[in-house]
Amino acid sequence: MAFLAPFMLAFAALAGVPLLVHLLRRRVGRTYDFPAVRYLARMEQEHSRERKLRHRLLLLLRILAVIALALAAARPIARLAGLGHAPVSIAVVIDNSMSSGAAPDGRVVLDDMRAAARALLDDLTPDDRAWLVTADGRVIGGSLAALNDALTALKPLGGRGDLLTATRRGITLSRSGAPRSPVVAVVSDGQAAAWQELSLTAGASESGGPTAAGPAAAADGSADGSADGSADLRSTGDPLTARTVDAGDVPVRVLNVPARSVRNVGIVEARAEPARWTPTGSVSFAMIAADSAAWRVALDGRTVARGTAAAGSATSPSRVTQKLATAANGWVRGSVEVDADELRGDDVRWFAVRVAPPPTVATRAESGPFLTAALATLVDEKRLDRGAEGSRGVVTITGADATIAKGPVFLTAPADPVRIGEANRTLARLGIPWRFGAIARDLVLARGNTSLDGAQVRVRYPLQRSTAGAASLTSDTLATAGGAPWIVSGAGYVLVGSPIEPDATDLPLRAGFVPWLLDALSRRLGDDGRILAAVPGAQITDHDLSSATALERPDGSLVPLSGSRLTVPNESGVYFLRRQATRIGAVVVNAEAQESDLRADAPGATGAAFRSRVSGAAVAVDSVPADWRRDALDQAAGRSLLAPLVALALMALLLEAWFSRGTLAPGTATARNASSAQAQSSAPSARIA
Amino acid sequence: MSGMVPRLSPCHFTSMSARADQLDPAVLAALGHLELVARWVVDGFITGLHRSPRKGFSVEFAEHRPYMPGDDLRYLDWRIAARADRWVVKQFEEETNARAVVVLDTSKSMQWSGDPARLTKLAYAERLVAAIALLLLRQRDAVGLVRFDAGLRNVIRPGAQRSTWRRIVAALDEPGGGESSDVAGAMMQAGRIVRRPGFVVVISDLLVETDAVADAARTLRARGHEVLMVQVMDPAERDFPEAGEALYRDPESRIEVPASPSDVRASYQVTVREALDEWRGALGRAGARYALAMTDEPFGRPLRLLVGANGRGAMI
Repeated sequence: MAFLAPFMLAFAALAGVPLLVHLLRRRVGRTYDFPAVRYLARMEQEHSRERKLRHRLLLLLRILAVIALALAAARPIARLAGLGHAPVSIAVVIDNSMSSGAAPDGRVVLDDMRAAARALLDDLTPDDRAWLVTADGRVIGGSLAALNDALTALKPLGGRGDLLTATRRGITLSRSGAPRSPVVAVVSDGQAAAWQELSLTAGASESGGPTAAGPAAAADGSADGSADGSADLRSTGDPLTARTVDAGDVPVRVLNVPARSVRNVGIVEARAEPARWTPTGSVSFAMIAADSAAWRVALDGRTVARGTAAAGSATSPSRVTQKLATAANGWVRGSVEVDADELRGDDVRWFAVRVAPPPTVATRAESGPFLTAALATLVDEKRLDRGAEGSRGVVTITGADATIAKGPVFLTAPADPVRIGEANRTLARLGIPWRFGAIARDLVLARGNTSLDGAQVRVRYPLQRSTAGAASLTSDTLATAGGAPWIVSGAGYVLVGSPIEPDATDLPLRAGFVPWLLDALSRRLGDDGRILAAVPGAQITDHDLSSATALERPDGSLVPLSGSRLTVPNESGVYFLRRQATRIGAVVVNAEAQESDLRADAPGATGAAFRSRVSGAAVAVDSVPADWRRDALDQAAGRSLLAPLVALALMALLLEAWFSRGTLAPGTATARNASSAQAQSSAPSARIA
Repeated sequence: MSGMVPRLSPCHFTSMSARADQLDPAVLAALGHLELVARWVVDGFITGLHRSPRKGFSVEFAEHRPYMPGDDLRYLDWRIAARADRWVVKQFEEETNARAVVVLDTSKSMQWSGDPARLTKLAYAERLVAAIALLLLRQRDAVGLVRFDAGLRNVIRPGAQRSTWRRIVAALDEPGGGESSDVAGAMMQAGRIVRRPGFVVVISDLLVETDAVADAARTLRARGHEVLMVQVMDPAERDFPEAGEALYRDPESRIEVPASPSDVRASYQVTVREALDEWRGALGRAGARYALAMTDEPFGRPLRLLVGANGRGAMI
């Protein structure tokens, strides 16, 4: 048995009052003169047993009435048969992900889900507690009327949300309503991907650089794009550590609204390559469509390309790469669009690109043949320009043992170990807070981003932080080798702990070497800024955010920023990072690609996927709203005992009154008491001895 | 009833506009001395008797008065009706042929009232005794008085003289308050002072054992006396009103019994009824008559019992 107002049980202590009165009456302090004491004594002799029995019965009835009333006031719940349901503490989780905005047959799926949730809310009573939890983890509490209003105002998210996290929150909320019976009722659109793990690599692959983290990535916390030149980018969302939820004894009932066939055409991926257009570049995107579909690419709202793509599925989308050139300069908001269909959310996918002249570099002989060749290639492709060493903005690329007057510099370790002292002096002269350590010749694998990860390192000088005055300078470790920093970067420098030669490392032989080199020169040593890809509603942390003062919305309005943490807006689009009037980066918000896959699971498959993610004693999936509603409320651990206890108390009081009155002799009490009413009212004071 | 006090005055009773025997005893007692109260009661009582003629006691013609509906036609003077076409009834004066002794219990238990607004049992009984004595004297009967508690307090031999009334009234003013009641002894004393068969009227709360009193009554009956026991009772003794849990102490024996009226009232009332029935039965078997007088009842009721039909005719 549980109690909704357990503090009221304190009133059960009043049950001792009748007992106390009963006991105190045995110690009577008052004495009255009463000549007819002989009748009292005779009565005591003749009716002793009857009176004792009656006394005890009355005592029991009074105690029973008090206890029953105290229990009733405490609003107990117990498992009893009866109508209605015991007070429940219910969290209604609504999967209002982007896919719920699909409108097959002209009817929006979210409306069906809304109707099911509303019917469930209608079955609740004021004794129940209820919350709405949306797929993005937003919690809405309050009265049933407020919940209904919130339900009416609910809209599909711009992305997938995180149904698992929402369910976890629902479980926590429902438990907080104890002693009401906790219940979590989830209503979903039955999308096959609803309970699948979110792919965390989607954002990184789109942007070709920095990664982003959605709500689900918050649970993982492993998105680290530092090795590819981006800053450490971690989600600081709900601290889930495991992508499963243990509901324990909390019943979780899932309703999959009946699936309807949807012919969706959507863009599931779009990215600009390279990150800096000079002013040419390309846009690569992927589409899903049951049949060939038309697409168009727009830059800053102006369509610059259009075409038709072949049919593609969610598992094998149709990929298109479109070369483009633009006359614009600076940051450009781009989009790939298809015609409107039954799911509008994925008809547009956004990307951002910076249009600027290529970075300028000056190469010395000490940089080695491979680095020189790679730079030549980039110059030939007009991704880089050559400039005079020492000129403003020109990056000097050389070995660290060379004599260099000023940065920015791209330095590699000297090929000759005897030159390491000279190299360290150069580092100190340039103010770089690193020094080369003792040479290491063991074979180790580099650890870093996609381009660097797995590179073999045979000769390396483990980079060490220099001590003097450098502790406060910020720097990023882009890659490690043998557990020690191998490639680091900071303000005006990129430092590699090995010579760029095949004898020292196979990095120059890897396919990703040239793009990585371009990215390092553009982003780390240039002024390309950052492009952060994120999913709607995600929370991201990036130290580059701390250098921004505002977030520029697609409509041009500004949202002030402070610190290195940002909650990504729920609407898809390109949001520019602003430092005062200057755009210094962009946050590209797009829905997860999985949300465009509107296939419903085969019967039973959703249940299996759901149970694989949510474990508990009473976890089940329904497909009929009425069954779901009934099952959810039937999970109540018991019925309210308020009415039975009040009835019991009343019955006890009635019996008590009946027993009290029932002992009056018929025919004597009424008639004679009327004549003696006056005496009854004032007798004691007159007779006190 | 107490609300009637401001509207009453002795002139009401002298003018017979209100019958004192039907008034609340406490109200009546507040208006005058015992002697006056007795007169008002008797006057009112006799007025009432005119409308309810008594049968069987011997009378002498006194006067005529106009016929009133309800008067017995036997007393209609047919001669005057035939001669003067006027309907009058004959009124008679009673003969002085009876001797009565009133035995009054003055023990401490009689000096108790359950409510300050009521007369004590003794005060009620004293006024009743005075009224009975006056009624008897007005009938030319001889009346005496025995006051007692644990022993005899006063003994006034029966007499029909006017001085007898004075002596009785004076005796009623004397103190009592003994620790017990010797009812049987007082009855026997009363029997001794009535030399020829007469009436013995005992007025007591009868908080004594039944057997001795019944034996005394039987003895008196054997001597040819009519015996009437009037048990005076306070309504609180009958009803045991609410006074909370307390020790209830007998003022005479000092015996204490703990009780809560709300709990025991019903049982107590049953016990009281049984006790009264026992008195009625025991006295009936002894040939005595029994009447219960509650101290909140008008004096007329016990008086009517004294003069009412008993199957053998009026007692007084």
